Order: sequence, then C-alpha cells, then structure tokens
Amino acid sequence: MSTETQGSWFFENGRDMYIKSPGAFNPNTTWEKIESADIGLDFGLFNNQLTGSFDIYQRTTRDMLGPTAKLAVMYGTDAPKANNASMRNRGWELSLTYRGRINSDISYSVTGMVSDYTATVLEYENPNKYNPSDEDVWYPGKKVGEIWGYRADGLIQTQAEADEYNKLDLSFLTGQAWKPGDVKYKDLNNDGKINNGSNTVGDMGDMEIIGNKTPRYQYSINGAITWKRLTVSMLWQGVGKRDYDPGTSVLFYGAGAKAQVVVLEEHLDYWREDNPGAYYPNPYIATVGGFADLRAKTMQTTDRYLQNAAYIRLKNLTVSYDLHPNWIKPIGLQRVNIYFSGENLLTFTKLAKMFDPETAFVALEGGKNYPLTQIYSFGLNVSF
Amino acid sequence: MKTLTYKYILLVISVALLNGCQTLDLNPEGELTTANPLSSVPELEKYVNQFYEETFLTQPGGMDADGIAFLDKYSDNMVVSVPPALINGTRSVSGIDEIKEYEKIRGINYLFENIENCVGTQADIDHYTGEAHFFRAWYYFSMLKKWGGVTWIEEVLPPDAERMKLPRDSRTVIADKILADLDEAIRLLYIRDNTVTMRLHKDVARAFKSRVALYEGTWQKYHKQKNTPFFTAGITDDKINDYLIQARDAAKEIITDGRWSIYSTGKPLEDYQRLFITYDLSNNKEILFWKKYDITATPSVGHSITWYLNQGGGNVGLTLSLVDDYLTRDGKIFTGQERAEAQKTYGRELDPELRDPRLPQTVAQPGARLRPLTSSNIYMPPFCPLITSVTPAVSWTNPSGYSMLKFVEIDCMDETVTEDYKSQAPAIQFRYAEVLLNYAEALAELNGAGAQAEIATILQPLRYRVDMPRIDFSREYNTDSSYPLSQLEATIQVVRRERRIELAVEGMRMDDIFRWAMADELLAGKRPLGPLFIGSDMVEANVPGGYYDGNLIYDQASGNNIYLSGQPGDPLRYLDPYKNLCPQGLGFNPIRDYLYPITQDQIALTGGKWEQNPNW
Repeated sequence: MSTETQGSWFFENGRDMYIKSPGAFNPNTTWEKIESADIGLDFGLFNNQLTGSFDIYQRTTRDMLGPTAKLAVMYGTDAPKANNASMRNRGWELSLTYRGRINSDISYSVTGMVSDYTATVLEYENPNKYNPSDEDVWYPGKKVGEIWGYRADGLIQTQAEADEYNKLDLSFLTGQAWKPGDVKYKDLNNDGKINNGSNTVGDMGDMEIIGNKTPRYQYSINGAITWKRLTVSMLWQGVGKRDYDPGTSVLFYGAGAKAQVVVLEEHLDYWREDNPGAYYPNPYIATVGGFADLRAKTMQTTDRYLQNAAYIRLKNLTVSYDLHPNWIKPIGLQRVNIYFSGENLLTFTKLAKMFDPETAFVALEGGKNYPLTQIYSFGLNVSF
Repeated sequence: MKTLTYKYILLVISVALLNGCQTLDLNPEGELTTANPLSSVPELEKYVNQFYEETFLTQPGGMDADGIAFLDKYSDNMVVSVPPALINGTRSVSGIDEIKEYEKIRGINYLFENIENCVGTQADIDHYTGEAHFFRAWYYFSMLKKWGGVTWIEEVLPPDAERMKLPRDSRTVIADKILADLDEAIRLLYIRDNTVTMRLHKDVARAFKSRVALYEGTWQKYHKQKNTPFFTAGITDDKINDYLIQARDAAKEIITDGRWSIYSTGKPLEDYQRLFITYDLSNNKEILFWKKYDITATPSVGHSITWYLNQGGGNVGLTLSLVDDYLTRDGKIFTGQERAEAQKTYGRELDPELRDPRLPQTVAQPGARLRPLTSSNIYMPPFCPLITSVTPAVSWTNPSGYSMLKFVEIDCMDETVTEDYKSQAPAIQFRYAEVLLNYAEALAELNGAGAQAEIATILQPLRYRVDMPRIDFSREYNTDSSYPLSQLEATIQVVRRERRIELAVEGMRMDDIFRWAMADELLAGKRPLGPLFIGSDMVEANVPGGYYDGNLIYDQASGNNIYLSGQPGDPLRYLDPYKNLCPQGLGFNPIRDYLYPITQDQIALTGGKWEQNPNW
C-alpha cells in the first residue's frame, strides 16, 4: 500500500499523511521472451565497387505483460496484468553502396538504405476486439499504429444541406445540431446513424481504418563527391509513407478551449459564407466545460484531416576544402581543412505547416513540439 | 580422521548457512505491506485519511468548472456561457465518463475486511470505522443520485468476471443500505461541538442522513406522483413516509442536542455574506463540516472564485427567477406595481430596504464592495458588465446581468484578486441552516398544514439573522398561475422557497429540482432570464459616453452581443442569454435526463445484467 505525504485536506495539525488502498496484483509475472529469425545477404560486385546487404527478419515477442479481461466497474480497480500478450515484427533492410572514380581527380560514392517493418499483435486479452479506435487499446490481429476514423464528405455548405444532414441520428456524437461549416461524416453502413456501431472490430458502424502511423519505407541516401581537394557530401533522409492524426489538436485546428487557442495564418482558411471551399471547418471556441459538444461536429478523426507525414529532408550538406599541402607544410601544419555544413536545410513534405514530420509524433498532446532547427556552421580543422 | 574432520567442518558450515535461510523472508522495512494490514490505530487513521482527499465538494478552480459555487449552473439559479449539456439534453452516451465511485468503495471494503487486525483503543477504532461507514454511504449516494440503483458491493471482489454478473439493485435497496451505513456511522463517531479536528463527527453523519433520507423520500414521492420512469415500481406510501420520518428524526437529533446554532453577530446586512468568506470556521457554531483552503501553505491550496468574480463578471450570472423569489423586506411576495417600479432602475430590486437582506448579500448591487479597500475599481459599477468594453473594462463578462457576490472575498490578499488558484473562501459541506431546512421540509411533507407553527419556529433563526419577519404561510403563499410552484400546498411552497433563498448558489438547487421532479416545469423548454433591459435605465446607458458606450448590439441580423426576450417593439424586454443557443428553450428531456446513461461496455461486462437507464 503506497503512502502520500500530503494531499489538499487540512486536518487539525495541517496536512497529514495518507495511505492508499492496495491495487490488485498477479504473483505469477515473469520475463518476456523474444524469438527472432533473420536471413541476410552481403554482397560485393564489380570488384567491390558496388557493395550491399539485404536482410529480412521476423521477431516475435512472447509473454508480454498485458491486461487480463476487463472487469465490470464494480470491481473497483484495474484488473491485474498477466503474461498473455505477444507481438510479431516483420521487416527488411536493404543497403547499397557504390564507389566510383571518374578520373584521377574525381571520386564519388553513393549509399542508399531502405528499410521497412510492420508489427502485428498476435495475442492480447481482448476477445471481442472492443474499442479498437483507441491507440492504447490492443486486440489480436491489430496492426500496430492503425488509425480508425470516419470518412468525411466535405463541409456542409448551406442550411438546407444542414437540415438534410440533421435528419440522421447524430446523438451518439453530440446533441448539438449541425450547421453550415461543420464536417459531414459519411454514413457508411447506411443505418441512418453516425456512430461506431458496437465499438468492436467487425461492427464499427461508420468508422474504418483510414491510415497507419507506423513510419514505412524509411530511407536515406548519402553521397559524397571529391574533386581534387574539394569534397561535397549530402545526406538525405526520409520516410516513404506515414499518416498523422492530429486528433483534436488546437495547434492544428486553431479552435479549442479558450485558453489554448493561438491563431496561425493557416487557420484563417476556415469556412465562411464567402469562403465555401475552405479547408478548415467552423472554428468553435468555448470554455473547457462547454467545448466538447461543439468539437464533436468538426474534430472527429477523418480522412479529410488525416495528414500525410511522408517527408524527405536534407539532413546534412557539407562542403569542405583541404588546403594544398604546398601551402601548409612550410608553416609546419599537416592538414588544414575548411568546411561549411548545414543541417536540416530542406524539407519536402505534405504535412500541415505547423508540424515537423520528425517531432510531431513525439510531442505533448496535439503535436505541439518545436520543429528541428536548421543549423549552419563553418569550421576549420587544423592538424599539426 | 582427516575425512571425518572435513565432513564435520562441512556440517558446521551447512548448518550455519541453513540458519541464515530463515532470515531471508523479511517484510520491507520502508513500506506498508498487505500482510497483516491496518494493525495499529495510526495506520488505520492514515488509511481513512485518503478518503478525505477527493470525496468532498470543492470550490471551482477554473471558469465553468464544477465546484460548489458554480454547481447551480445546472439549475434555474445560474447562467453560464453555454447551456450545460446536462440540462440542455445534449449529453451523449459516448461522451459519458465511467463510474469511478467503486474505486473508493473497494478501498473502504478492504478496511472492513481487515479491521480485526487493529489493536488499540476501542473508541478510536470505532471512530475510524464510523468514518469508513460514512464514506461508503457518501459514494453510494453519489451513484444513486447520478445513475439510480447500482449494485451493492460490500466485499473486495476477486478478479473473476463471473462474480460481476450481477443485476442492478433497486433505488430503495441502495437507499436503505446507505441509511444503515449512516446509522452505524452515527453510532460510532465521536461527538464534537466544533470542527477543530477537521474530521467527521456524529452530527455530520446525522446531517448527511437527513439529506439522503429527504432526497430519497421526496424523489420517490414526486416521481411516483408524476408517474415518471424513475421511481421504484411498487413502492408504498408507507415506505416513502418512512424515509421522510428518518430525515425528520435525524435532523431533530441535531437540533435537540443543541450543539449548533445559526451564526449571527447582530449585523443583518453583513453576517450572511461574511459566513461564506471567513477563512477559519473551526469555531463557528453554524458550520458542522467544511474544507479549508490556505494559499500561504507550501504547496498552496486555493481556488479561483474571487479571481473570476471580482469585477462583476466571470462568465457566471444569476437569474431573474432566483431574484424574483426573494420576499420583500416585510415578508410579502415581490410582485405587481412594486416590482414593476423597482425594475425600472437597475439594481433597485436588490436594495435591502426593499427586499430580504439575503438578496444583496448573494447578488451584487451597484456600489457593493467587490475588492479590498487597498485595490482599485473596488465597487460594483452602476450596471452589470455584459460586454468587456465597459468603463472600467473587465476581463470576463456577465452573461445574465446579475452579478454573484456570495463567496467573493472582499477583504483579501492582493494575489487573491490578481491570480487564479489563490482564493481561500472555504468549501462548506454541512451547515446548520441546511439541517433546519431538511427538518422543516420533512415535517411539511409528512404533516402538511398541521406543521406550520413548528416550521415557523424552527426556521425563525434564519429570519432573525437577516432581520426579516417570522414566516407567515398565508402572507408568503404565491397563488399567481405564472409562478411554477403555485399548484403546491402552501406549507411546502413556503419551505421550498426558504430553502432556495437560504442555500442559493451553494450547489443544492439541481438536486432539489430533480428530487421534486420539477425539471419539466422549471427547465425543459424554458430559458433563464436576466434583469429588465428595454423598460429600464440599462438601455439608456447604451449610448456613447454611457457605461456601455453604445457597444451593446442586439436585434441585428448578425454580430449581436446580447439577446433580449420577446420581439423588437415590445415595451418590456428582459435579457435572455441563452436565446441564441437554444431558441426552443433548454432541451432537457424529462423522461430521460434525470439520470445519467450507463456506458456501453458495462452492460456487456456484467453479462447483460445491468440495464440501461430509461430512454437512453
């Protein structure tokens, strides 16, 4: 039973210690076990000008700690965990390097690497596959990182359209009526209601898997070319496919609880009668207590606002020059090298501009994180 | 010989090692273990301390938060910026939180299962056991109000899903068990006549028992009368009266024991207001139990009421319905010509020469002091800040036009006014006025007009405190058909009004409306109003150079910042803050919204034994 030194209740002699009731525990917990299998091929061709390696692997983690079956609320605490979950990772990696020489002055090398993996949950205590849309909930067969959402059919443009849409049973989402500027969610199963069915896989109502936030096809290309004593090298890095779900992020929508909202230029493209083709829906701003009903009309997870977080970024560009030995040997130096280098110089991505594709996923709620900084540096290396 | 010595040495060594094995099983020294828990009285006391933490009502820390001062937003007493989902019928099954009360109940049941381990003074052990009974009753009552009957659990359940396939018990089963728990608490708790220990005591359990029994008795009586889906089918009138009798008797014990009295220092225009902003109530004879705040402690414990309300705004406002219900200074209904005249000048209807002095101590009159004398902009301006651009400017507006003064600390430290979480007004849990009102209401329900003389005597201290005349049931009976309670019998109407006035904005009104089954008349399809606008001097202040500087915009196609009742051209129009947000009135659904819905998964996890609440 854990103790706390003080809470917020003032007893006769000030705040007093209190002891909390013990939780439930399982005396049989044990270690996870990992089985991994890997096949790889390392090769060199053309007199080792082209070298590379290719690996394909599968790793299964067994006996992970997972919850036991959820118990009714009258149990009064979380059910104790047991070693009953397992997960499988499958992936491959390919790397190729080519070194070449054009003449005695110019040489170059290029390396490309690509890797990809997916992870699937094999066993987990969730036999009904309940509540798959929550990212912290697992079920057997879940692909790690999957994103569930509604399909959106654009924004409501006119009051007549809103009245037509309000004929559907929208009470699962909110009791507020839809009006022009709100997002129209598609009724995929044509049952006249917008809801998540019974919230189990196989009966998710109007929700389906709309994306996955696992980074796929991560690649990097780095190359260097040297001409006499001048070297230029570049490192590009990127992710081929990745989805980002902004959720109810205030940074993304520019609308939310009053104390949180900061309006950026992008947010000004919201629906108004003179801006019907806008990207953003009605920007609702209300107190923390009153806000949930309103944002249910515009901030459900949908394919309309699901972001494409694939990117390619020039991580590093270095231009360096070695001074001619004839100039430096007389001074007694062995090598002098001047370089300019830049990091994170260019980024190409379709992700919304207020997010950085590398930091948005490791942010506090709502993708709020500083983007990676661009760094420019100049330097001098001197060897004696 | 050598081998023998060798074996002998081995024997000695192994015996020594085996002896060491006995001391390998040790209890952790720095922590409490679940082997032989609660074995001493201090451990028992600290274990019960955990329940003081999150149980009792607190004061709100954020705008629009729940908390004693802002709970009346779920009723016809108070207006906030957006009509709350609970009274507007806009709650959705997917948005409801899960039931959390069972987590505390499990901890309390753990105490009952291990209490035999405790060694110490029996009176102390009994007292802490009594506190545990009180807390269990508290959590079951919290669930009873929100969901109706739930399942009564009085043991620590093992993690076995089959054991949880239990149906919901009926309201009466749960209510009876709550009252039994409170009877045990009353029997075991120490008697106190002040709150210096800041712990529960016998009279608190009695006061809570009168509250619970009155709630359940009136709930069953009036929901049965109106034939809503919410009373226990088949309940007899005798059973209903039994609850009312328990409420009456529990309150009567407190009154007869005579340890408590209504706080009064002979200043009818100040005492009521001061009671709610006194930082230390440990020796106040009216307060049976309260939560203390202290911003000088480290870390500080404070809330934010004064921070929001000290300019007359704060996104909360009080309603015309509440203001009209206060009697005149000589104890008559406020109506007719007198009312029409007073409404022509903003704030005149709040004057203590005209009305019950509790009114200007709950609602701020123009010129009332809102801040310490060392501050600036100390007094309530001549009109209410409906918009932020007034003179002087305010940070938060008042949505209705009536500013709340109760709980605003008018003599406080600078940071109370300038920062959030630095207010220290106490969170009063039980006060003697509620005990008197519970007793009076139970009598009125049981004996009707026959109880009038006793009720007038019992409630006289409340009138005496504010220099109002004694209750007169015929003088104070409002028979006007537009008054929602005019159909009720006089004794009950008068007692209900006195309760509404005395306990205004203390978080009791929603429970009262629900247990009287009056939401269909007071909430559904209705909207709360503010003061008279067209027809009073408020509209004359809306000119350039006036208090509102011409900035109030209404009746336009768009860009309105206030809304008025009626149509343009009507001679008398009141402020109508929710008009734009619920043009058809509040969407409260009287066959559904008295109770919360059960979350989807609980119905499956109890094997279908738990049924959803009616019409969800």
